[in-house]
Amino acid sequence: MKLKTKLTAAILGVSAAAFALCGTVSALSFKNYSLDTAAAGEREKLAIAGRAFQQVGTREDFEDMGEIARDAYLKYQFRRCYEDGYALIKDGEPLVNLTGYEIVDLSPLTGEYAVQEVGGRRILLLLEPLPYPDGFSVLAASDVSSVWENAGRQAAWSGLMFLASSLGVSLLLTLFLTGALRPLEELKNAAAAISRGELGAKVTIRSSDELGQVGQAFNRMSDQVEQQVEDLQLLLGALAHEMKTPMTSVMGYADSLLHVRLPKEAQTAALKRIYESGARMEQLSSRLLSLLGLYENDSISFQEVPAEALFRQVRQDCAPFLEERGVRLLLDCPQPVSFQGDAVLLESLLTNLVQNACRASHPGDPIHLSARPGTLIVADCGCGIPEKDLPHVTKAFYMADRSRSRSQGGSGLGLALCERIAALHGASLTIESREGQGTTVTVAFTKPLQNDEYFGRQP
Amino acid sequence: MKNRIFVVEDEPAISDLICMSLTAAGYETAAFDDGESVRAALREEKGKQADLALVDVMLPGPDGFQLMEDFKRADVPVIYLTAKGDVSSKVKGLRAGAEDYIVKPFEILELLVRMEKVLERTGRMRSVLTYRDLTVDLGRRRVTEGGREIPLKPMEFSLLAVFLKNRNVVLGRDRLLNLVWGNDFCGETRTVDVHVAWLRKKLKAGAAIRTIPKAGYLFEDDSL
Repeated sequence: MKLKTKLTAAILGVSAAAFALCGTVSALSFKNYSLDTAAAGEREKLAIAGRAFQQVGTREDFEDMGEIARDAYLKYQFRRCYEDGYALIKDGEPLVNLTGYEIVDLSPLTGEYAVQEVGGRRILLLLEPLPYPDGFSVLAASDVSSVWENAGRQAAWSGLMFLASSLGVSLLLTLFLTGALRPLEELKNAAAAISRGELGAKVTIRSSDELGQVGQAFNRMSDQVEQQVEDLQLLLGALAHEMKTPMTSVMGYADSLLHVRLPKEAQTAALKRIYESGARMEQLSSRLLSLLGLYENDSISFQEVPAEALFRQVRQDCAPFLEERGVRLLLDCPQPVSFQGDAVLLESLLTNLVQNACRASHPGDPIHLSARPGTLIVADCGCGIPEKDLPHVTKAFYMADRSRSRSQGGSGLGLALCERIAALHGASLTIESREGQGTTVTVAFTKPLQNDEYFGRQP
Repeated sequence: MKNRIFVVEDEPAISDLICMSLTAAGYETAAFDDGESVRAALREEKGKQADLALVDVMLPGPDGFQLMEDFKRADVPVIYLTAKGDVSSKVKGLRAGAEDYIVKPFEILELLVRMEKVLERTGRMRSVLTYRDLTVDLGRRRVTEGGREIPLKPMEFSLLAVFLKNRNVVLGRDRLLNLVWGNDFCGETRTVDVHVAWLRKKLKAGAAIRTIPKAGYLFEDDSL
């Protein structure tokens, strides 16, 4: 069921219940009031007739009469004074009955008046004792069915009014809700568009109410999703491109080994190339896995990492690499400094930076690795990065000098990995470089850690 | 005299692969790993010009498209060899004046056949092929062995020419049918076997045609 139908039904239901309650109460009180009025009128008529009846004799007159004569006299006078609808009661027994009804039992008739239902008609009964002679009273009976009929008619009429007005109201309500809920409809369509693959679908924001806020949040989400998917596609495209070279190499050499009669040494060379290409693809995939793996924060343990221990490990890891290229690594840590972070990740970050510096350096050049409170610096005096490439170097698979970096074993993922590690530590990665003079990479632990739990432990 | 091929490719693995296979198939190769060096070579080597250049599009320095002018000036036909397989790149390459466009990864045999077609089309194919004392004159369609002329039927001659042009490369029966008899020939692969048997009977050099089980035939030439 649609929301607007639900809302309309709920509102109509509640107002119908309220109306039914009010209607019943007002019909009842109307009936009671009518009945009271009728009773008061009846009593007045009774009083007027009573005054006439008083003229027929005084108390002394009746006391002087014998009982039979008195009764006969009263009967005669009663018929003369009262119209139809009254009865003379003597000691609970009717003496004269002009009511048109059979009087059976008067004992329940106490209080002001009573209403009795006889043959589908409602009869109002009033019992008025006569001041004298003692034991005589007058009973008035009048048909008050019209009171009930009027009340019923009143109730039916207002019910009809209610129906007509609620029909109008529900029509207006539906129109209003359709307008008010249009943003929801648009959200639904936009979400459907996104799930169909039309990324970046937006909704128009018309108001600043809750629906407007939902729309704004939706638009932000849509932007984010589009951006992320785009990034992922770029990464995938770059990966596919990077895989193509080693693939071509593997396929080509295997094809040559299968279909070309190569001399022995050429065969060995081909097999070696196949192995190297495989190793390159392996390196690429493990780098990429670690790049993606960093999205999961669970495996990271933050602790105090002393710079000295970190540097020792980095020197050890990079030793073969440095030796091969004849580059010196100079450590500079004048005072005991420690960093808040994951030892393995920080080490990987520095190793990557040192290897990059090493690739850029000429044999014999030094690489400076320094630690200051809150800052780690890797500086080289190598070939530098061209200015136009500088803003892009942290993008995955971006290589300023493709053939050169690849021939030296660069994957194009190193700096992307470094930036992610730095971001994870709430640190910023700044690269300054001048072509021909060298590059300086600064890791500054500026922002407090994102994770409060770890932030609390910081000195 | 062998055909001389320039291989311009920055990825050493691919460059070595091409040179290795071309050398085995009877070509002479010269490898270059960037645009500048090949430009210099084209300017200097007046006497020893190449017959064909295999050029990667993405190169350090001037890229493959930019080198086109230099090759044109030196009158060297170009086949582009690249990882970019999209149509617009192909169109751009061919419009620029390349003879052919091969997308990586490629099969060695495909490369050889395409090179051969380009060499034939541009009139640079060696017109006389030799193997030991066997001489095949492609222009006059004459075969001599040990100074004596050997009469061959037209299809036998074509088959022998294909073998000599693709030495040390395994040629499948279907491939041979295709290359010798053409695409629309609906013969059986048995036809190839029969012609190979005739070549082996008529020529001493026929012994160099080796049967490779389940693959086809290979013309062995250890002198390359």
